Amino acid sequence: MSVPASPTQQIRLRENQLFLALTILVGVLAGLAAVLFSVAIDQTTHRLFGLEPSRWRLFAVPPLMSLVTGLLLARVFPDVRGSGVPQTEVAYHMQGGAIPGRVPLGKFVTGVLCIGSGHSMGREGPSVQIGAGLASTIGRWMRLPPERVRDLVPVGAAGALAAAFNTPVAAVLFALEEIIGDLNASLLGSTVVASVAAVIVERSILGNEPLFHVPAYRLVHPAEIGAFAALGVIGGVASLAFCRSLLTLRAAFLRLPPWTRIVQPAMGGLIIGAILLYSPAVKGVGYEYVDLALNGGLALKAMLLLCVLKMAATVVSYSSGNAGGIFAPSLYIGAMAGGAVGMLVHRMAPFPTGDPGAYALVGMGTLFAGIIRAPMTSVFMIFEITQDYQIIVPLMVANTLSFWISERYQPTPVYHALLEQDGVRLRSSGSAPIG
Amino acid sequence: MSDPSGSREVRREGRILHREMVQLGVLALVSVVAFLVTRAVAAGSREIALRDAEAWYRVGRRQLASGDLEGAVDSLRRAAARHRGEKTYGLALAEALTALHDYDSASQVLLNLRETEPDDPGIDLELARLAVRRQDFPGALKYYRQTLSADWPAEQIAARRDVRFELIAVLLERHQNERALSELMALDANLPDRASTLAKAATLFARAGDERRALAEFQRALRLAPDDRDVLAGAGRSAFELGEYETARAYLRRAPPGAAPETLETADLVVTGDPLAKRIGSAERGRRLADALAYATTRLSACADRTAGAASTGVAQALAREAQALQTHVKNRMTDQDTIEAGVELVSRMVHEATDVCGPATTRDRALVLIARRHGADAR
Repeated sequence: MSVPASPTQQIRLRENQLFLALTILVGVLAGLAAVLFSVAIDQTTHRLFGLEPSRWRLFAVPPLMSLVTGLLLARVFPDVRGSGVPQTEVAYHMQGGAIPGRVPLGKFVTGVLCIGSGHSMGREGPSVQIGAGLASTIGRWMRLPPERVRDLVPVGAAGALAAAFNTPVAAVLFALEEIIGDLNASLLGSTVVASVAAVIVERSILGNEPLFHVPAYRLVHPAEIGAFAALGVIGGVASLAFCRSLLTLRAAFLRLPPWTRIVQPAMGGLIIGAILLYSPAVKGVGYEYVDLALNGGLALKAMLLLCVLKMAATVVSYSSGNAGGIFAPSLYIGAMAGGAVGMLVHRMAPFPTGDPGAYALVGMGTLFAGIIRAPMTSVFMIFEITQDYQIIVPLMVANTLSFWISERYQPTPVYHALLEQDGVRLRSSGSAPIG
Repeated sequence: MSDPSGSREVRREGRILHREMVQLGVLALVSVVAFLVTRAVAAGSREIALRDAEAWYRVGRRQLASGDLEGAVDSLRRAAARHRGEKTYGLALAEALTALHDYDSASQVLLNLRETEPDDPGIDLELARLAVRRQDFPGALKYYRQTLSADWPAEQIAARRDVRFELIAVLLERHQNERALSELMALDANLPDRASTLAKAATLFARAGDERRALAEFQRALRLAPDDRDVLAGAGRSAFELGEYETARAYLRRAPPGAAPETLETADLVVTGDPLAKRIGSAERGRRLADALAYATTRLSACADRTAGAASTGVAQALAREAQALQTHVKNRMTDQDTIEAGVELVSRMVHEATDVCGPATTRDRALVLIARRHGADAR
């Protein structure tokens, strides 16, 4: 005979069922928000720059739009500057998962305006904050217990990231590795459910088109592993350079008098305008050019130049207080650095080598591992993009080296260092534990 | 007795459950509305992207036509990126990259297209052409074969035939005559009754060295278009190569004047100067042989004057003496078959000597050698 459940057990069962239903709905809504965010950025860029923007437009749009976003960021949505990932971590670890309802809205509006107006920033970080914010708002509206509201935050973040990047596994890993900081977290099941729900929604709207078209990878010669290891070292050094310059310039902006905060984004916009005059290819998210690098569509000199310019533009855009992430720029810089290394190896190596596109792909992973410091996510993200198991070995070699160099010479991960600049110290300011 | 605090608790739980159900319903409704809105906005954005792609494609085409290859590549890349998998844009981009000699990138673009449309013969054909440009002969053969084995719509059968013609031309350029011939045989069985197609096949047969089949195809074409001057020229050349000089002369006389003037002149000289030709009298044979000997003697002596003192002068003098002796025979009307054959053989030796020592053969030199060869009397 079955024993009837006690009232406590019944309540817990009902709570679990409710949480499962909410997980699916949060995944769907976070996925929709991420898709809408991405589409809105594209439309804004199209409307602000047109098909072939004049030089005047390239120069003027970023600072002029940044005047508007500067006002919004200073007066209406003060907590949505930058990426959104560190803020989500703070909300999860220090604020019981409470993210005010205005945050996802503000992040959406300011993110669209900043990235759409040409700032060199990514849409994934903001998507994470939007998804997490939506999840938190829904949890509180549902009057869930505080610990359940907190649990919904990484669920929303995973859903949004899965839809933004079309990589469900990497999104789950990112939520565990970066937001929660523990790959053994009990929320694995919920994040998986939300991630799957978000990706289903995203694919039903945008189709199952991969974010990048990548060439088939093949390890042509065993010695190529050495070349990939060298790319890992270069990726680590480039990650360090990026993080250091970002933190230094941001500290300089923070030292300016408080009244200047309203115009700081426009100051950054002015520099971005000047950079766009020289090279419009660093505008916005820039995945079009990542695709080019992956498919051998850029010359060596162009890739080296874009690598440096994108790094400079992202540092300026982020440091000046605009709203946007560093996820996409890290992939862009990595693709350019990797593509350049691939071309050099292709030309100079005494053994036969693979396509430079494969190096661009691994380069994306190395910069991601070095800057974001989420090594598992970086491996699985590239694996999900390529759906090619053969890339795993060189990718792991290069990512591990890049991660190690970055961790060795910059012990505090960039997201945590950014929080420390804002006077917030997370309980664990080391790298995310692996395994 | 009922427990009032227990029933209050049950009622409270019921209210919470009801509220949660309503909230979940609201969230589900919001999700549906948000889905519809997002889908509509995404569709609008997609429309914009497609319009942009079309605009970039037009710009790229213009740049390609005006020779601005780098600009064209840039514009066509933008078009292809905004409308991924669109064959027209991808093929145009590959064309621009090929024109820029960036064969690796062109190949990558085509391979990407092939991933989305694996059974499209047009993409395989472009890959084959690219492989030809890259001197990748095995690759070219592979893609040509894939193109030919693809499912072609019935109305594109002529296009498929053209691909086979193209493959044969590639094989011939690589001196793969045997392979080319077997492709031609396969093609020949299904050639339509169209003069231009038959002439094309005939030309390829000729290039592959099968002049007999070439002449047969040219003649098939001529039955359909008796006055096609290009076909007449082709037929004339094939007949000439086969040693059918009368036929060659007949065709070439009707061909355009500039088609093969030297071949016509040579054929003419062979037909009118052959001492061993059928259906001519012995006087005519003697006259033709005497003409040939006189020409060969003059040619040799002019040559000997230019190379006086050279080692070959002795040979020339011996040949001249032989010719003089034979001419005496001919003058004395001693023109039996053996004398004529010996004369034809001697003339060929004299011509070979003259061309060996003094350089390029004249049309008449060639005609005299061909006459000798025609009767198995060529000295070489």
